Amino acid sequence: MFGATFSIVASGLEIFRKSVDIRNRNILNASNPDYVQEEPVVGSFAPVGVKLEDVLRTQNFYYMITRNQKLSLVSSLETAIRGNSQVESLFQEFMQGLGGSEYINRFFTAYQNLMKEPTNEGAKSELLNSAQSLISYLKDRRVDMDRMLAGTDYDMNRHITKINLLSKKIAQINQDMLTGYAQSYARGRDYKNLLDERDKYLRELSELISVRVQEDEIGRVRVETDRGFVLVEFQHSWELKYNAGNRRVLWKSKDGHELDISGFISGGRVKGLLDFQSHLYNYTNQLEDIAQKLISEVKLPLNSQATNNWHWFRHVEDPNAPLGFSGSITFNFPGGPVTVNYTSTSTLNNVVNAINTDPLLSAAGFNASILANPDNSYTMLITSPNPSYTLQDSNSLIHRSEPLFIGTGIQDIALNSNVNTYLQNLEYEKVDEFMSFSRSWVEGITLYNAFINQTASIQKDLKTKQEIESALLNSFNARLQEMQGVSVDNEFIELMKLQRSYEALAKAINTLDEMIQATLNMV
Amino acid sequence: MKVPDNLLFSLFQEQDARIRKQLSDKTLEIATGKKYTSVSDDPPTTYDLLELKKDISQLSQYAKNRLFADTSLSYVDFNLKKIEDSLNFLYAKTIQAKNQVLQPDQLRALGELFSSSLRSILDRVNDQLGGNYIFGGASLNTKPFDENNLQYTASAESFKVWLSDNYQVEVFLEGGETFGLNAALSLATFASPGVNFNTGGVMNLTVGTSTINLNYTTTQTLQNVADFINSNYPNLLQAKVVQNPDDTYSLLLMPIDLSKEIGVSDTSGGDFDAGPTDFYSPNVLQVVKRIGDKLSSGRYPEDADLLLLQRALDRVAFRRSQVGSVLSQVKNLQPMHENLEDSLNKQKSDLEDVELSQSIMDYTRYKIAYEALMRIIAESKDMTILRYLR
Repeated sequence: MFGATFSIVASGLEIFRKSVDIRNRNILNASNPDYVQEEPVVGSFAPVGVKLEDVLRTQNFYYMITRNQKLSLVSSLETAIRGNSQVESLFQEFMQGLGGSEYINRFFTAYQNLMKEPTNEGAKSELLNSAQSLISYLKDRRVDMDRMLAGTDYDMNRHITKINLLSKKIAQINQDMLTGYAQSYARGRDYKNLLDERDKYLRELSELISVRVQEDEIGRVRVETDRGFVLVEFQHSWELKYNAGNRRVLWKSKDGHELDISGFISGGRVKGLLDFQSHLYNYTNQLEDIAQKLISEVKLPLNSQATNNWHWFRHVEDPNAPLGFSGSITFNFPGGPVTVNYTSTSTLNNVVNAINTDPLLSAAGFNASILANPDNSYTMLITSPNPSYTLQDSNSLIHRSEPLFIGTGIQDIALNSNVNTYLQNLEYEKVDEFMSFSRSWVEGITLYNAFINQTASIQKDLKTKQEIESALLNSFNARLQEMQGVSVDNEFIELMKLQRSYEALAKAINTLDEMIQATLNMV
Repeated sequence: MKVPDNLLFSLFQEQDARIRKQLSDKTLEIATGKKYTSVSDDPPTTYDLLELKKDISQLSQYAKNRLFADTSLSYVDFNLKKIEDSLNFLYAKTIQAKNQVLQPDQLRALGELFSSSLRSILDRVNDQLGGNYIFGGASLNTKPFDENNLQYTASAESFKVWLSDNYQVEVFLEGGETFGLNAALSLATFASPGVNFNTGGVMNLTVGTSTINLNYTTTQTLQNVADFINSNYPNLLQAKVVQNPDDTYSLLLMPIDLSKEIGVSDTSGGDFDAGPTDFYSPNVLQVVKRIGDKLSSGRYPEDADLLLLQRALDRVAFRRSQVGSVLSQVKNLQPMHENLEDSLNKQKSDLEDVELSQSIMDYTRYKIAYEALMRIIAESKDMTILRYLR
């Protein structure tokens, strides 16, 4: 008579115990952001009582994936910002004496000061020192940026290793899940705690690289990068590789092929690093432009004891393009003077040819050539055979001069090896004209300002995006927490309900016991 | 609605981080006095700041140039004044000598005075400032006047500096022009003003843009030529027969208008054709020497000498007035440069410097907000069921 009742009560107590376990698990994981709240689903199991039908996870998988995608974007922005902050810290324009503009302004001030007082030995020394400081500054900043670039290789390798590890772990979870699913049918085991672990790995993976994820009916996931390069499918995983030589991210197929997927990654720290590397390339190129501009433009006015080279002070982009202005160059020498005219339709090449083909000038030994500057501009160099021969341009564009800096870029920029001789042989009558030239050179070096401005704008843009996207991510996280997070209050209420039910059921056993005693006494 | 504990914690963390960042930013602002610490804080401000730094640097260079011009021109003016004083003194002495009956020894003593004044003037015209010859033009370190022949030997260009993008001034004058009399003295000499020329010819005269071809014949004398010029070109030229220290006579031509350059040449083979150069323009030093030599040899000065000295004085006074006018403009630039520099520095300061009172107010505001947040969090946790379970 009491057999079925005992069985019902026993299954009820067992189910309550399991439910309490689940509630306790919820409470314990209340602070775990990846944990999904679980609800025991208890159903009637006639004729022997109740059974635990399911452990319901209050999760919206697709919402979580959307959150992960946003996380990828935010991580990518954070990484790029961190990198750009390092660059920013190299160019402290708001603290006196630390910015590159101080070096540039000091150099040009020293140059102009010397052009104001070319006999002043202090001004010469200041020019040399400020020029050397500027060179060192450019070289140091280049080295700093190269070092940062090398740093990104280290970070990238670390991230790629972690991505490969996470892919393996997720593949293993897929495998474990299949086993757990089979066991849950066979022995009523609960395998769903694996899903929390899976979600944690997916979140960590999304932080590193943006991925697309599909879930099957038992919770296994297929993970692939943007454009469908598979990382995990069932129990199999694929690896990524970083080629530090050309700074590319490669996907390794099972047949041994390696495909460059750098351009197809839209988020995650890997994307942030790739972006930062591209910014660094851009920044170093701009620093290079500044050095090349200095080498190409800055010249010293010299007297006949220092040089026989006469430079044309109007650089052109193309030596075969019309000059756009007219004038004449007069060559003064014993058999002269000879005047070579040029018009607005003449090209620099025309002028060079006119000089080289003039019989009197050739006989006198004058030679003109096109000079390719490091900044990709062109100019004309006329070499006079005799220090006493002079040249005059009607537009005052030709002067006996030599460059202050030599080299092809930051790597080899240096002061002209003859600079000390040159400084002792300045052409005093031309210094005021060179002071005028220096003003246009200063304007040319606003390249530095443009560079800083670009650095600042990129960083500001990244920060603004990051602020907006982080706010969105926080909102996604909050929404996700609302959906799947654990409310300890709620869990306590549920526990209290379970406690009451448990006590009621326990009381039924007492009553049964009393009924059995009463029955025995009656016998 | 379910409010998971983790949600509350995340919200708290998020707000806490935000307010902490604001507090830390304000602390940094107050500590450094700078509104921005990195270039990306406000890119337009960064751009403006870099441009301002460049402008301030350029302006400061112009200010240095102005100071250089001011110092140099003041020194030039000082020297010109001393030279003018010397010439005035010599002029007075020459008039005195001309109007008095003097013994040859007295004339020779006056000659000595001229000689010592010449040395003093020579010191002045060959003076240096900061290693640069102030009357050597763009040569800077070439001594302008030869001590023996008193010729100008330095650059034919004055040395200029820029005081703004469009304004350039001469700071070291070209001595040849500064002390040149703009007169023409014939190299050909004649035994007497009244003796007929040996060979006739043509003199080509240019005064400013005017050109005169002057014929002279063997029936004419030096005095005839001077008189002809004075009567035919009274508004253009003044001609004088001058006695040289060696008792010979030369023709002196001077434009009436000081600013019009005179040039004379004679390639006709006549008496005035003395070779590649037929006439030369004596400078102030040469005039003083010439008169000094005459006095030293016991000769009285004549009208032409007084005229030459007067011309020298006019010339120096004229250059001095030019220097004075430039100097006054240079000095006027000082307040303008200073005001501009102040204005640029103020703009820079407005851009980058913090307004402390505002920052401290903000700091206090964020601090209060932070405390309020902490209290709200504490109170919201206190409202849970845990309170009833205690």
